[in-house]
Amino acid sequence: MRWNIVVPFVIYIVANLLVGVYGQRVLARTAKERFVGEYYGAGRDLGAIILAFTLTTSLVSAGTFIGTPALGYSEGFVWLVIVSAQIPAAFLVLGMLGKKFAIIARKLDAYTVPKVLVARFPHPLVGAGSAVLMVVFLASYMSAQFIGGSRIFETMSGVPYHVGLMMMVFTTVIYTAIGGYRAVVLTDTLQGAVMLFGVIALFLAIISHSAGIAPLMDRLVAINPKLITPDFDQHYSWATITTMGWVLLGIALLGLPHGVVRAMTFKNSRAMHGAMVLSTGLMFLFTFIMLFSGTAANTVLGPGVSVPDTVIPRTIVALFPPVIAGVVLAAPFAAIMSTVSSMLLVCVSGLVSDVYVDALGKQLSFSGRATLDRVMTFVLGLIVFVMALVPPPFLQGIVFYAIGGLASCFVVPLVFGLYWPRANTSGAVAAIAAGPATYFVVATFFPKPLGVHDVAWSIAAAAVAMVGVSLVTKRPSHEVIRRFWGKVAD
Amino acid sequence: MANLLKDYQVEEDSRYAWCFTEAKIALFLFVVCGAVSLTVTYAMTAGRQPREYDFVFGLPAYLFWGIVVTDLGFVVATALALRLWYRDMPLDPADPADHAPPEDA
Repeated sequence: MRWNIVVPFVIYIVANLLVGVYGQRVLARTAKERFVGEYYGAGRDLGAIILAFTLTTSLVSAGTFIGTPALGYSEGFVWLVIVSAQIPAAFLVLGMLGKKFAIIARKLDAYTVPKVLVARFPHPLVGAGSAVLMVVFLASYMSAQFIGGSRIFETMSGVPYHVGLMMMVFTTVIYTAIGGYRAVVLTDTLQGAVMLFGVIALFLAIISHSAGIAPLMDRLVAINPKLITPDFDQHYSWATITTMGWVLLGIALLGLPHGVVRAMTFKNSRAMHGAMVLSTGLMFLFTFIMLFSGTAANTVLGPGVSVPDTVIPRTIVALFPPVIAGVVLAAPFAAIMSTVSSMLLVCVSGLVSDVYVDALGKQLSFSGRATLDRVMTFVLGLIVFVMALVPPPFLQGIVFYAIGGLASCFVVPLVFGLYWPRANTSGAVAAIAAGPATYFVVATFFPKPLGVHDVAWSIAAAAVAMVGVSLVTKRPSHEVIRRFWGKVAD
Repeated sequence: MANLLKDYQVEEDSRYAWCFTEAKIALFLFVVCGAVSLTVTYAMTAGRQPREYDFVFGLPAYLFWGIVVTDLGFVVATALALRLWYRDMPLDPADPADHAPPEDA
């Protein structure tokens, strides 16, 4: 057991739990009628800095901190080129959904994406249906994040898999359940600070290990010149690079509910503007440094590491003295926990708000509602824990489809719903059916047709369905148009 | 688009009209960032072997110009766009009567 890694990790865990307790205190002081707003949206109180941190850290996860750097280790800078597309994506999410989304969410008193969608496209498939889809995909994705994190933690620290898993899952679930959205965004900010410290330290260490960037490049070329090419020596076509980057990691982020939900919780437009710039800066640092480091790790560990997912943790341990290594290692776990906490809350909101209360029409007292919200957070967290402990055989399959499936489902209804008045419910239902179905079929049977990533095809299919079906069916109701475009007469 | 609103005699909230413009600006900047980044990266490496690459501050030139400079330039462009075109606006519903009752009233 490597205590130099375990101790900083435990301190970090405790810090997150304390933030959870703080969130719980705020909730306890909140009037019952405003519980839902506080639990799911921190009362729409977010300023620029916290908004920037929570949006960025919720989007950036093990994928950016472990998975794609692992690919970069094996295949070089092509992955930096691909993943760099996510740098402007947080700006895109806030900018495209923007204030209209925020205004409408306030109008509808909505804290969930399905609720906004179902107000625009009244149909159970749009409300409860999309919420259920969201939960299935995100639950698998959350399990996969924890599985990955726990495996790596076991490798690095010697702590057995199920113990590491318990520590991570229980911490995340506890602070999310007791403290709600406020705890989530504040821990996201704490985790963002840890991630920021981690990436800067890693970058400086990896460069000084080679005594400079130019010597580092020379070493990479000596190991394998293909590593510094932008396409792994033409192994990846530019169609693939463009769509895996700018569609899958760019445009598709508009369809990820745990990111989108941040766009309805900022306190004013100035907060939104500030966050748009700050989040881009953060995305740049996280993305550039982690993807650069993945490839550069070849100069620290040599090219022969057999499990590339361990490359980043091994590099950190190799570069830093013991206790500092423990602190820097917290960064990938911070990335995981910040994403999972946001996903967890968004799933619970979907189940309780969109399915139980709205679709099934169950009435609840204020305190009953508060209890249900919290209990469901624990229950869902437990389910994720069990799935991570004993991964069901279909888990990897679902994860693979999770992000693409979500994007294929939500991007088109959301963007068209907000900005194209002629988009109607039939079009939306068609899009929600066509998007994920296309994605599933393409990804399973004809991956990357013409080199273009599957998600580009599915989003296009959803768009065609939306436009085509809307135009041949009847226009949306007066009520919907008034609600989403009109101003109320003075 | 205007037809539908006219037919229904819905007067558009002026905020929303501007929001649509802002959304288009955001998408435009994003697409331009992508186009510049990919074009520069491709142009600087097409037909060249890694040993023939130019380097700037130690980094391969395409990384420096196509990613670092382009993305930092994007940050500057967004700050400018926000300053020049984006507007502060109140986010609350225009009319309290238009506000939905709290979820579990």
